[in-house]
This record gives sequence, C-alpha cells and structure tokens, in this order.
Amino acid sequence: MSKGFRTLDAARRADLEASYREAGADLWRSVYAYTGGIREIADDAVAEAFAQAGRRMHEIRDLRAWICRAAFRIAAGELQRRRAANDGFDSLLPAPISAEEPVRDLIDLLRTLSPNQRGALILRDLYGYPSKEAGRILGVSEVAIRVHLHAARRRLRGLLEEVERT
Amino acid sequence: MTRPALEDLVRMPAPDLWPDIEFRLEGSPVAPRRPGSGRDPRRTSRRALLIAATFSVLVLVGVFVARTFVPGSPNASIHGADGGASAAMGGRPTVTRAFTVPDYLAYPVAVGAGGIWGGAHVLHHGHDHGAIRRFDPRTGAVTAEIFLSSQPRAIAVAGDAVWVTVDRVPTSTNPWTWQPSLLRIDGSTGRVSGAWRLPDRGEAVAVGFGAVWVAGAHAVERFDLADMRTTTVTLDVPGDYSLTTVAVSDGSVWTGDCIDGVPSALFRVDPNGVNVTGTRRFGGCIVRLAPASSGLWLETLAQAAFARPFVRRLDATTLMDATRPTTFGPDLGITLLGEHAGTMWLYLNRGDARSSYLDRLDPTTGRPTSEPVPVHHPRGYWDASWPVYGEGAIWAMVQNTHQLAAIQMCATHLFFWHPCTALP
Repeated sequence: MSKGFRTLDAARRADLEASYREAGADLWRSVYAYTGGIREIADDAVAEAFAQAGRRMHEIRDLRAWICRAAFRIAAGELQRRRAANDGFDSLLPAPISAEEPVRDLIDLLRTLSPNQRGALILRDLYGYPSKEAGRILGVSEVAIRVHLHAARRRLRGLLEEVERT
Repeated sequence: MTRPALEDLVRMPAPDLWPDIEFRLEGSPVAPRRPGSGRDPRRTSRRALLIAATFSVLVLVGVFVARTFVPGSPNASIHGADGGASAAMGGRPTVTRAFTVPDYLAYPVAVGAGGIWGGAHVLHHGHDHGAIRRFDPRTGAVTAEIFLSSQPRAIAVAGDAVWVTVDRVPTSTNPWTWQPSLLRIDGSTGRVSGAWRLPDRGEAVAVGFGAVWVAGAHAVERFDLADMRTTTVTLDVPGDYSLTTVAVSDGSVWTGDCIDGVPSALFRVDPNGVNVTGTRRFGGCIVRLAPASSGLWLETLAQAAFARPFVRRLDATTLMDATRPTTFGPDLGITLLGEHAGTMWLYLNRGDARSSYLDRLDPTTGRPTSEPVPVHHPRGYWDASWPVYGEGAIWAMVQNTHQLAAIQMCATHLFFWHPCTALP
C-alpha cells in the first residue's frame, strides 16, 4: 500500500471520488479526443491523474484544474514517447468505446490534426477554457493556443465540408 | 456519412475508471500488470546485475572523458581570459534551486524590484482571485503578497515599480468588477500605489522613454510616468483580434498582433510623436519581441499544422531582417531570454514536457552557435514554463513539482561540484 494512500483520509477520498463522478467522464472524453482516439492512453492518463491527485490532495487547492492538467500532460508525454519510438497511431487504432458512427468519424478527422491543435480545439471550443488556461494545460503560450486553434478550425472546417460533399 | 460535430464527443459514453484509480491508490503506483507479462525472478536478478555492471563501467568511462575533454570541466579552460561567457557556454544548465510555491497556477513573470515577481490564480472561498507575490531569490520566501480581483495578465518591472495589468478591480458594489486596469506596485513596500483604467484588456506592458506602454486590443496606451496622462496610439488591428506583445528597443516602441488567415503586423511607434512610423507584415503570428543590445529580436509562428517557429533580428530602421531567420522544431515553445556577453539566449521547451533546452544564437548571423543543451533536473521529468532571466539565473515555474526553479550554469566534476557560475 502506498504511503500516500495511508494519509488519504476518508473525507478526502470521498472528495476525490466525487470529483471523479462529476468531472471524470468529461475529462476522459477530452483526453480521448486529444490522443486521437487511443483509448489506452486516455484511460491511463485520467486514472493516473486522479491517483496522483489522491496522493497529494493536501497540497492541491484547485483539484479539478490540477487533475485536468495532469491528465493532459501524461497523455502528451505518452504520445511523444510513442512518436519517438515510431509507434504509430495505426497500430493502436481504432478502439473507440462507442460504436456510434459520428464519434468514430470525428475522431478520424481529429487524428489529422497535430496534438497541440487537437488540444487547443478541444479545450477552447468544446470545453470553453480561456486561451490562457488552455495554454497552461498544454504547456504552450496563449498566443500559440490561438495559432493552433486557428489552424485546427481551418483544417477541420475543410475536412467537414469535404465530408458533406461526399 | 453524416457530418460529425464536436458535440458528438460530449454524448459519447465514458468508461468507469474509478476501480482503476482505487487500485492505483491502494496498490502499486504503476498500472496493473497484464496477465502473462510476468518474468522469472531469477532471470530478472541476473539481468539487473548485468545492467548494473555495464552501467558502472560506462559511468567510469564517461567521467574520464568529462574530466579530460568536456569544456567546463576543471581540466578545460572555463576560467580563461574570456571569463564568464566561456564558462557559461562550457557549463551545464542545472536546476540549482527549487522552491515550493503556494499556488498551483503561480508563475514567475518578472525579475527586479527586490525579487522574483510571480502572478497567481488563487481560489479562495469559492471565488477566483489573483495575486502577485515577490519571492526572495536566495531563500524562496514570499517577501510580499498582494491580492487582486483577477490574476495578472502582464507584468513589467522598472526600477522600484512593478506594473501589472488586470481585468477586474474591486469597487464599492462588487469586488470583481470588470474594469481592465493598470496597477502600480511599490517594490519597497509591496503595496498597490496606483490604479488607472484601460480601455481594453492589457495584453502586454513595457516601460521606457519615460512612460509605461500597454498593448491592448487595437491600440497602445502611453502613460506618462511624470503625471500618468494617457495618449492612445490606434493601430490597424482588425475585428476581434488584438495585439499580443509590446517592447521598447532601438529608440522605438514595438508591438505586434496575431491575425487568423492574413499576415500579422509588426508596428513601430515613435515614442515622442506617439504615432506609427513603420509596419511590416509577417506570415505568422508575432509571438514575442525581445529587446537586446544587438537590436530587436522577434519570434513568429505560422498558422499551419506542425508549424515551426522562426527567430530573427530586425534592422530597426528598415524593418528588414538583420539576420537570417532561424527555425526550430515544430510545436516547440521558445522564449527569447535576452542577450548576454554577445550571445542571444533562448529557452526551448518541447511539447512533451520532458525536455527543456538552452540554446544560443550569434547576434551577427542569427545562427545557433552550438547544439541546444538539455537542462539537467534531478527529478528528470519536469515541465517548466514562463522562464525569465535575472538575478544571475533563469527562473521558471515547474508545473508538475509546483516549484519555482532557478537554472544556472554549472561546471561539473567527478566527485564534487564546483560552485555554479552565473550566466554572463
């Protein structure tokens, strides 16, 4: 048993579970989309973020912001590691949890964007984070978020128009 | 095929990860091992011994090479006639100090006026607040703390004054009233000594030519330091977009914007006439401006997938490139730290948050003078943001360890550490 968990009292554990029940699903969806539909990374990043938060809850003031950031950072690190190892997306995809066609199609479209573009699009357009907060989560500047967002919107718009035409 | 929408994601069912989280809390900090992936413990033990022996041999060889050949080691001429610059170039950037800071979202943005000034987002009784804190560069102690109605948007230090832009200020009816403002904080007392309204959000702030310059959405506001009277320089920034940065360099005030779909503009403003005297369009956003003794340095980032940032020095008179633009890896975060001892220093942060580098450019040619040097951190994994230079070190907020870190150049040796040599 980890030392951290021994110090996690019942009240804090209940807080952590409540946070997970409240925000875990949304966070998983956003990380899942950010990874381009790699479920194992999304599962691992979200679970590990909550677990790390549980080990250091006494240090964290804004629990949800901390967990959100941690999950994205873990996912970004794993994506980078796989890219460096030339472990392409194709060998891992698709494993969406949903069989609904629109989601599969959307994930396929998102995969054509760079990770930072996906992140900017998801955090800004889907979850309404301000550019500054999105920048903090992804570890880039506020201006870079705007650049990535613009490029992501333009590319996604073009792809969606192509989809409509076909 | 029906047209998908982002909102489809929101309706997607998500797995229940709570059992996995509980397992990670109660059991090993690593993920559960999949069935069949276990190894023979005896084989693992032999393998560990083999790895340890190989590692030991490599360390000894590495140490011999370092002591003999690597610049910056005692056997090399790090204390030669060219002094600090040579030492800094040969040394190894190392995190020499790291202080735990009170708030998760705190970040350092300015050095001067008696310490390191960091902005913060503070959640207090369920309300969002902002704060400015001054940290002692030696001990990391908080020596001043000023609570604000919103987190600071931009900070600049000049002399004993710290200039801060905020979006909200307290009023008699509402402590979080939306009113973009410029605040002056007295560095000696650590108190707000003045507040002035801004017509729009203060995206960036700089001090020079006897005035404070605040870049807003479509204009630069000039606050005369003598009487704080304002003059507005309206700029051709379209629609919903805004200026991103402002700097004082080469006898002019410089500002730039970031526009979707059309070239972004760099504006040169005459500080005396307070009018625009030059404009140049760039294919990418104007991300950062950095004044230096060699001239004005500029970072641009194109609006394209996997865009590469460009860094160049400009001729202040013609606005043409004084050096060839140097490009870096796509999606790489770059901060122009400043020019010291004839070298332009850059801080590079890769998107995976596992690697930070220091890089140097020749101010004459704009070309890198060597390969980027990885910043050494004892914990290995770290995520440093918002670096600034001052007090003989680069200061950065390390997000994952919740620390304010000082990076300095160190000369390393086999069995002991030399005292760190400050950046030139």
